[in-house]
Amino acid sequence: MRRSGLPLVLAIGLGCNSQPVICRQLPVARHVAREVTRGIQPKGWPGLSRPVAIACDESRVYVLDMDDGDIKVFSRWGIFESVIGRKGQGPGEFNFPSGLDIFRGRLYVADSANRRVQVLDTKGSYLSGFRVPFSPHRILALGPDRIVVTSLPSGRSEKERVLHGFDGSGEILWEAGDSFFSRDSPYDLMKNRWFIVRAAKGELLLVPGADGRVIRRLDADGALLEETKVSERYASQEVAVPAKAGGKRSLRTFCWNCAADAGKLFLLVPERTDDGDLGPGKTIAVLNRAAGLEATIAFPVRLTRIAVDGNMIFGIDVDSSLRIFRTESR
Amino acid sequence: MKRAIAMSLAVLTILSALYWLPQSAAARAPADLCYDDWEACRSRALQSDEGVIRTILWLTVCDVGLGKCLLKL
Repeated sequence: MRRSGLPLVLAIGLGCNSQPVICRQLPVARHVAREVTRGIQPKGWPGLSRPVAIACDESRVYVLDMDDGDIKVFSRWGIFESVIGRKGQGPGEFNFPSGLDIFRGRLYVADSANRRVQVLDTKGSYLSGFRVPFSPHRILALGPDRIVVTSLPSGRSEKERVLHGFDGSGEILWEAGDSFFSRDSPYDLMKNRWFIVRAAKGELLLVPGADGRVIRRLDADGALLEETKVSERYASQEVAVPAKAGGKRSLRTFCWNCAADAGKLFLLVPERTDDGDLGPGKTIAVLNRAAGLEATIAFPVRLTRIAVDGNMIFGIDVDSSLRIFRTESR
Repeated sequence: MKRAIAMSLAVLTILSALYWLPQSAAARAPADLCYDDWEACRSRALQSDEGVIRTILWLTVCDVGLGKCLLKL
């Protein structure tokens, strides 16, 4: 007996989340990541101290090193090539930088302890920069004249804004995203971890690091366009954490890190550690535009940061090494 | 007599202001340093990849450090 393909077509056309009756969920594809041969690093290779952000373009991989205050540049095969910047306060120097983005041949750095944003070309030449009234945490360029920066709320007052939009000269254009506030600063900060990734048409996605499974799509002016609840097939885990006055509170982690590529969102799934904590994991979940779980990719190591370009995945492992993978069907 | 007292008070007030103003300006800087260190501490803790519980413990240490730093001023 032949079954009609109509429900499936409807499900794809309308999005599984909005049509649970019609939708027949597609099976989740399972992929594995095969490591591309790890190259031998050249003599004098400085190593990575505390890699906190990774970005790639068509020819290179850039790793932001918080402790060294620089950007280490690698080939797409993982061979170290050069260093951009150094620790300091001058142009092209960084002090505990924490966010990095690359867009149209320009590197955008959240120079956290210097409380500024810096823009460099991919050779490391300083192009521009501006001061910000907070310690910038993550950064995303939507265009040369639209730079989005996240901040860490101080935890001293209610509803601090965590998302800030600037033009290229550093003039603040908009602020969005009210912070969670419960007078328990460490707990609140964990709940206020947000990731920002580029979406199509100069828009951005705001992805929660913990609690909640709603992904927000905003335009370059900070206006909320859409909220999409992530499919329940993507499981988030809960952990009991220390709270004020010796108590315990639960925190549901959502993702450890994330990246976007070709209209898909890649979430690094937190994983239970041997001591019962939740930390970096060995799985990436791939979400489609409707926030449905489309595939999972299994890795041989725990990853802390990821960047995706086609079937290549660049990651930092828990030992602070750059790892390069190619995805294959299982 | 009244004039002399008024003059003395005025001089004392000006001298006090001159004495305290530089101190208050200098007192702000160490507090700023405390907050700078606290922000750097929180940023490093969040980027530590040590797991949720350990990160929260680190963040608590940052808060305690800030309190101690401010109390020393």
